[in-house]
Amino acid sequence: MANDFSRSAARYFAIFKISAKDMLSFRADFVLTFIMKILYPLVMVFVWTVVFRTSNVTKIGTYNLTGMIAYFFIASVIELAVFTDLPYSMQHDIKHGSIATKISMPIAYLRYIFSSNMINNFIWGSIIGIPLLALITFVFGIHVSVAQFMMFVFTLALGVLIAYSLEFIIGCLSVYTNDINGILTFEGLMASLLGGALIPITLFPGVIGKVMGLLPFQFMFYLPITAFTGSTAIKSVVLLVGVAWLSAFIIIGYFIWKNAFKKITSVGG
Amino acid sequence: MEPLNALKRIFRNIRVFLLMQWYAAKEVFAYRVSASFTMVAIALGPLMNFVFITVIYSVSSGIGGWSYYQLLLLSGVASFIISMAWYFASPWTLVNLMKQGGLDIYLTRPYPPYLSILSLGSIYSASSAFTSIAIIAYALANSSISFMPAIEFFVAIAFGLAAFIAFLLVLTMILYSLFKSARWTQNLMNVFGEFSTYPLTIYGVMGTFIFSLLVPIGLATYYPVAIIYEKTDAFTFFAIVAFAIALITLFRVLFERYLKNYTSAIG
Repeated sequence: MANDFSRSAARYFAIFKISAKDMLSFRADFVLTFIMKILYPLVMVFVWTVVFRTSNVTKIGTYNLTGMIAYFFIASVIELAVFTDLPYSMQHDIKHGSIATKISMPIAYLRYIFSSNMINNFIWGSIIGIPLLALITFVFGIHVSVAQFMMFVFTLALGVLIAYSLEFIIGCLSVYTNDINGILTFEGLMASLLGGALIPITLFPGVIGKVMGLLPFQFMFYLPITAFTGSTAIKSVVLLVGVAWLSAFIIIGYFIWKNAFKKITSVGG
Repeated sequence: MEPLNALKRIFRNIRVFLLMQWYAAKEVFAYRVSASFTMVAIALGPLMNFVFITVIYSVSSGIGGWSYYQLLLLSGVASFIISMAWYFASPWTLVNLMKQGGLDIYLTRPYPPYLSILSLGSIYSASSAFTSIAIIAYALANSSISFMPAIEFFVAIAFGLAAFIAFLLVLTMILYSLFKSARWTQNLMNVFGEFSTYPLTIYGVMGTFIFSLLVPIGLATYYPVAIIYEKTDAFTFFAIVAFAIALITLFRVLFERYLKNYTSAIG
């Protein structure tokens, strides 16, 4: 039992080492990504400052100016954890036949592909996300209580799992279609719009906002940000909705993969 | 005889360019379902800013000095310019060709290399350009505009776009020489597109300077929209056209110079 665990841990550590070495060979990428993660929400700083000044109000929805600006900076950081290369990796393996060699590795293909992508996100998150989040907390004077932080970690983990399971389903589709880029572009747009990366969900009018509150995308951006800033209390029923979506995606993914795996053909790799 | 030859050359170049576009489109549509789905997904991109601006104006008074339709027009023009820039100049294709030595074939053809490279852009971007045109038409239909500013608007966009595409090609070459990748050109372009969606004046003097002179996207987005709504003086239009011509010439020279440094062992 202990042997099995240590052997399994050694495999994942090997994947971690390979991924880390691969990523750290392009160090300039980290610096430039850090700058980009600040540049994108910087536009929102200017836009919302002018909007608040023009409207002559202290609050729009439940957000004051600082809260609104912080929202977009945190969304920019969360993107690092939520958006993955999983479907692209799957498409590449399936189309180029390299899945044949990966299946014969001493680790199950799904475990390998999930862990390598999660490790990539973890490295990006550790090197860029955590320092940036600390900087945002300091600059905007956000007070994060232990309960808020725990809720942030939980909702973010749920959001990441939902994103991964959804993207896994899309990755499986590369067995049936020539190109999944269109589906991925569509999914990315929906996640940004319906997830609250573009604009907080509470600012959408009545029915639209309510419908968005039932979709899985809010777990990717809106809820983790809300948990972190503590702007609104998150009801436990909302978390149940997230767990239900995750379960549904896992079940769908399981059956799609089962069917897709039988159809994979390869003449090399 | 010389003007006639020049005219012939122009028509031949146009014919070659259209032929290259035709074959590029045929290649993309070899897989019709995938291509159509990708085009529909990309076409939805400009609608994101449409939603954002609509929500902003429904919960606040918006951006001072700019009405809802005026900002919508600016957003539509910005996404149109970015779409057309991708349509004519694809950093990924250009960088991949340079990495793999495949650019040789374009340099040895009996046509200007610049023309060949302009035909390597992304056909998919045409779909987001169409959505942008729909947004522009919607915003214009709900605005009261005069004839002359409208003409100046379209002319300024054309010159601004040409200058911006020339800038994008040079930026691709510079970043390729530094990072051997197109990734940062793409990221920077997305950032420029984001900034140009809103009036440059909100970024202060520094922002206006950067997006007018250093990164000429403002020439194709903010200033034409300011002209059509008569937010600038009569001199602005001529200044934009003159400055765009100067930039096109400068960037063309720089691009040719970078191209001379391109080396390849295969191809």
